[in-house]
Amino acid sequence: MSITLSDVAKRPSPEVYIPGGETSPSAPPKTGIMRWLTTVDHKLIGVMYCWMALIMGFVGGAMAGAIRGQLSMPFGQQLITPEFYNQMVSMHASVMLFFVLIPAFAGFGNYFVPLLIGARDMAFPKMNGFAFWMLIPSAILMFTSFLFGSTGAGWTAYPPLSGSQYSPNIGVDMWIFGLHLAGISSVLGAINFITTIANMRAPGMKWFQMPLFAWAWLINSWLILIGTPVLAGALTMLLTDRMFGTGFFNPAKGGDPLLYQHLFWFYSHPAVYIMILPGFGAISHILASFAGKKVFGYKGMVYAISMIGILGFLVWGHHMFATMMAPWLKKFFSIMTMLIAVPTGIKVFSWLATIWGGSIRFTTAMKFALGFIATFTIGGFSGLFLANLPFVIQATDSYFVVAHFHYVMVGGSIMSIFAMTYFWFPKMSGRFLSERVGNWVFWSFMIGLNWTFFPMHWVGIEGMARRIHSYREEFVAINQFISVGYFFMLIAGVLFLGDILYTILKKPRTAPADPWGVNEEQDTLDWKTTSPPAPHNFDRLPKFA
Amino acid sequence: MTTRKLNRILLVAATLLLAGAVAYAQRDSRGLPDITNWIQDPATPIAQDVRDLGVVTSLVLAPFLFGPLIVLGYIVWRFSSKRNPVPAKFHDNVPLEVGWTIVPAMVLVFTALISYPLSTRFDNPPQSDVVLNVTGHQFYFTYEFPRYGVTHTDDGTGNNPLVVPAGKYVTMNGQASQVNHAWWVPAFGIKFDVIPGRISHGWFKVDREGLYKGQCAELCGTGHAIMLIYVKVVSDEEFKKWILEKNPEAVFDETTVADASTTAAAAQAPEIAMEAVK
Repeated sequence: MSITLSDVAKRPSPEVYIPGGETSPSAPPKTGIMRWLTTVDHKLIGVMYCWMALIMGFVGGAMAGAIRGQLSMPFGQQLITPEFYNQMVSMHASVMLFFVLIPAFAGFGNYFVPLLIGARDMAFPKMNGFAFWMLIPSAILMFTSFLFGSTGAGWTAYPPLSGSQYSPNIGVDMWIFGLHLAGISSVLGAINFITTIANMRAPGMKWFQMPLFAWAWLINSWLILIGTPVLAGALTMLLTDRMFGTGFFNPAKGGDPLLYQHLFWFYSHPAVYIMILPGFGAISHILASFAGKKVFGYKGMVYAISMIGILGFLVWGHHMFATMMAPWLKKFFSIMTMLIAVPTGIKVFSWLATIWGGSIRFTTAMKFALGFIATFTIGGFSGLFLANLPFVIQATDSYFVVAHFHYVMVGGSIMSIFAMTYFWFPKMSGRFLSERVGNWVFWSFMIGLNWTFFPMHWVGIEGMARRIHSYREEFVAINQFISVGYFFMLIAGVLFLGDILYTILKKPRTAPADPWGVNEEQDTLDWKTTSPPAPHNFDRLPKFA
Repeated sequence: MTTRKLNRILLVAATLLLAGAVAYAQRDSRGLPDITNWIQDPATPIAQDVRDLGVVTSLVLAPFLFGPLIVLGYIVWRFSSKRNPVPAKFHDNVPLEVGWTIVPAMVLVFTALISYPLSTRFDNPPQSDVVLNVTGHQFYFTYEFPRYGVTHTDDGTGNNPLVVPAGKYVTMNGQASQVNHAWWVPAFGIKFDVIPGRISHGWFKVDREGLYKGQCAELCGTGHAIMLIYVKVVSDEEFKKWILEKNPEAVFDETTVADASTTAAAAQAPEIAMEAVK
């Protein structure tokens, strides 16, 4: 594969770009806040998604702080009420999933998918902006729901608990509407990504020349497109049950609460992959870049991501093993869940083979990528036990599950988001984040996450249930120990935010087009334009031969 | 201090802390006699088998955890830019890739298959000596022994534990009155959701007498945390005494429903079954 830049569309590029500054012959470029509010540029929208994720990360983190605070109280003492605790549990999950993980990946996806495939912008720039701005009313609805008592039914919102009889406050309806808007945002984004990737690849770029991050986003978009409407349907049924007295999930009217669980998990299990696949793609880029090698088993990686996408829709029942599912169905979901570990394993093995024999530069991005392999492997491994039928009956709804999915979501997704940020920040802003501070961020976060989540495996095995506001005396010591880990992650977050602000406000734009000096080996298009890229992305049209 | 040195210190510190956490958890579970730990103190044959299967599965799967982690550690040590200034050129190896697809698939299918017999046993009680109906309310469980005409409420304080006989097969039918709950006693190796409009099943046979703790394991509202379960396993005579205290007219006919499937057990509780039909 070789990329050439044709000399058509050659334009003079100014010395320093305002990133994404829109220019048009008729109107002068907008500046200041209006530039952000009115933009349809994929890069600016991507940056806004990232900012949203960063800010919401602290909001969701504060909620986790409230949870850990309550859980470290001495036996029988109360820091927050059970009502508030349940709201924190519900909203911590909702915020982290819908306003941190999904927007963070959407942000990097928006910014880098068009760059990586050599496109000028996303296929539908205005829809792209619309998808982002939908998240704002969504967040407003969710947060103002606190004024009306919010939702205490967990992010899963199982009826009848989330029904009008047991959660009569309007906060639940606001939460549902908020989720609907976030879902619309996701679906619009997915349509945009699929169309962009299918139609706007640089001339001559074949499917199997597409970088893995773009592949990951393609598969990811299909998951969103297939899964999210099902969630929307389930939530709408819940809403009509609540507001108009329908009986979809009401046994007194012939409905079945279990139906909701099936519909919910049909979306929400693939959603787990939605929240990590782009990270998989980016980790491949980062590992290969700093090992000075090409990605090992590129095609195998593409097939593995695709298999994860397909199998991801066949395993939702493993969230419901304790619900008296038919024995054959339990066995089906169990073996499917086991099998989904195969493509996941292929990815881990291929990452290891990618860096094997490499010449590794331990930049902060690389440290996060290497740390990702370790923590994600642990999270995937505990997942195997949650596919083991007799074992999972015990482990489900215990802290073992909490440990498992935090290892995947924090040890996987958040670690990959950190890695992506350190990797692509110079491209997005033209400035380098501090490697020195980055080292502290990495170690503080790595220690914090293992400190917090590893002992939770034991707590679950000890018999502590999830989502409980207080617990038996014997769990106090270990819970207090766990809560200390929170502060390490908090320190990492504060250092990270501080460094980003300092870098943006104080440092000059010094990053060259290929800030890490990796493109001789990698040959991807994101490094073939200025840092930050011009509004039109490429001065010369990339062409594949 | 160089960054490199600092990182080494941090790595060692992190490892020590993790080991400390593990030791801490172990110490906790050993200190108290009636702890709920289901790996260390299984009380029923099923729980014992779940534990044993867990150990076997861990051993079979352990290479998939420690393999990548050890290789990762080696790579970080061996292939740093200092030790290995010139990166290798290879970027695929089809036999290797086929190998690491097929071998894990076989191992994983194997671990799934060896769990099936136990899962089947889990779903099918071999016989039924005592039928026990459990109903989840916000926020307590009530119990009914339909054969003895006895009902009992466990208020979650530990003062009114459910009493069951040791060495007997207890088959359970579960239902919920308002919202979802889950009945979970870890040492019994049993957990089932109770969902309004549905009947769930479970069974256990505990040989060791004692007080066992459990709790509701499905978010059910503000009192979810205090929805505790206490089960006192006593000798048959004591159990009969307890039943007679509650209902002096109870008759012990000693019939055992052999090969009780869960449906047969459910038939022992006609009033619940009717409710489900409604």
